Amino acid sequence: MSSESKVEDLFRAIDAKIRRELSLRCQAYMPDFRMPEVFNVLTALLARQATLTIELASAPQLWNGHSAPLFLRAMTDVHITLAWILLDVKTRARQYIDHGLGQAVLELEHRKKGLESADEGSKEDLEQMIRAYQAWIDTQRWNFLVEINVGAWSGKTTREMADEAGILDFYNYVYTPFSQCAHSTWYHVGRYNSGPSESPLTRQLWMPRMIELPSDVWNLSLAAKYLDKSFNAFDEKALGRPPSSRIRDWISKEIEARFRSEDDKQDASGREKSQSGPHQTAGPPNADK
Amino acid sequence: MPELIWWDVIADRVSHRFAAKVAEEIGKYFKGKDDRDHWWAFTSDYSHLSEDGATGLKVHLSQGNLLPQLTESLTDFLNLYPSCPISRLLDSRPSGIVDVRYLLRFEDRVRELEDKRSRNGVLIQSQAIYLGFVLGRLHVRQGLALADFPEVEHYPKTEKSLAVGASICAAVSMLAGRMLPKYSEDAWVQYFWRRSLDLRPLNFRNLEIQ
Repeated sequence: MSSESKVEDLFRAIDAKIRRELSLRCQAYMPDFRMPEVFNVLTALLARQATLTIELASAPQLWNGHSAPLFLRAMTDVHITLAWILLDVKTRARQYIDHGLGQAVLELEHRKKGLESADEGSKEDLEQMIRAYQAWIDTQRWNFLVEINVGAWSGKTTREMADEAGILDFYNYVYTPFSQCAHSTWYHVGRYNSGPSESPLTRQLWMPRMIELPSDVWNLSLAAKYLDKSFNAFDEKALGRPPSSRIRDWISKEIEARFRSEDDKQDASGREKSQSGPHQTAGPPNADK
Repeated sequence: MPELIWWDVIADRVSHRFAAKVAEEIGKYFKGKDDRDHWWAFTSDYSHLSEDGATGLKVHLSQGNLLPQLTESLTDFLNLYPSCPISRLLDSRPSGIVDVRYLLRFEDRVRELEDKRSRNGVLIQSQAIYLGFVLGRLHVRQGLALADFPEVEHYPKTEKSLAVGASICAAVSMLAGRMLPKYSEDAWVQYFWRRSLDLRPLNFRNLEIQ
């Protein structure tokens, strides 16, 4: 099998594994029809986390410091949201949906306003879009009853949510560093897209750059780790069973089994004795939290 | 750094000892003159020098037999930066003809000076302190590291020289903050970086597909 086919084969296996793990959890979770929104929100967040992992896994060209943190930051957000909702599912799942619906109504109103000044050619398309938005909101709640909340959906900062969920370290060492990339702060941009000019005579000026970064499988490993965290939080809090997700380990073993020849394995066993863990190039130092 | 770089140019072309001798004579010339705002170590100080002052200083340095070697050592540098206030010590305006080999050498020297704790970095800063002593404007209490100022000659090889070097860096930072114009208003420094950009234009080719 060619190496490209082997890689594609691995992606298919990862995709199938994650989908299977997600499906098993959703099947195991009995919805309470007095508050269906709890089921809807928890399983949707798990699906979101799984989607992000699969999408990142299938695009190795994104496994670098420019792009991977965009996924990883979104995944930390999902995990903190999930962990916080799990502390009081009844109230918080509803809160989460209400905020989302509020956002949808707000956008709908902007679109309606845009319709007034739209040219004849695009009016029909816009009207169709508005009808679709409205229908999505109406299936959940009459849109005229939706309260629009433009603040944080939980009424708390992400840090407060993480603190309450007992995962403040995760917030400090993972969410915050990856946020630098997501928000393109100088801390990220100054390292990845700028640097002092070569000559000391122009050292005051930093040159724009797009540094070449190799794909680093560590980013996939982190994504799998955060997916494990979310699945495990769900196992404990929603399913009331011990955490059982080991997708990160499974991916490592799959890579090992599929890509290392016998010779490589022998070499690697020697190296692993002197060097523990994969080399990390893109994530913050404590992203493994 | 651009304010003291001319001392490194002199040291590079002649020697640190010669640079110290020049500092000593400059200090002697200005000692007792009614100007407490300048210690004549910083390049910008020389933009405040009157015509009479410049002529007098040149005569004084000639009498000490230092001027010919001093101007010769500064010529290549001043050709890179013709509007440098130090060019007032020359008899004619610098030609501005760039010697490419000297530019490379100068660039290497500047690279070292980027570390203000490097040997050359500390030695050029020590000129400002030395001038303060010669002018009688700087007095140091016995027992302080700066009281062992001559030990800087051995920087960074001895423990004592390291302590003296650290004191020099701290004192010069303080002096620069008090005596020099704000960075954005420092005409020499702005000129130095602008002219350096002319000499070494930025190359953006790395942004294009290789």
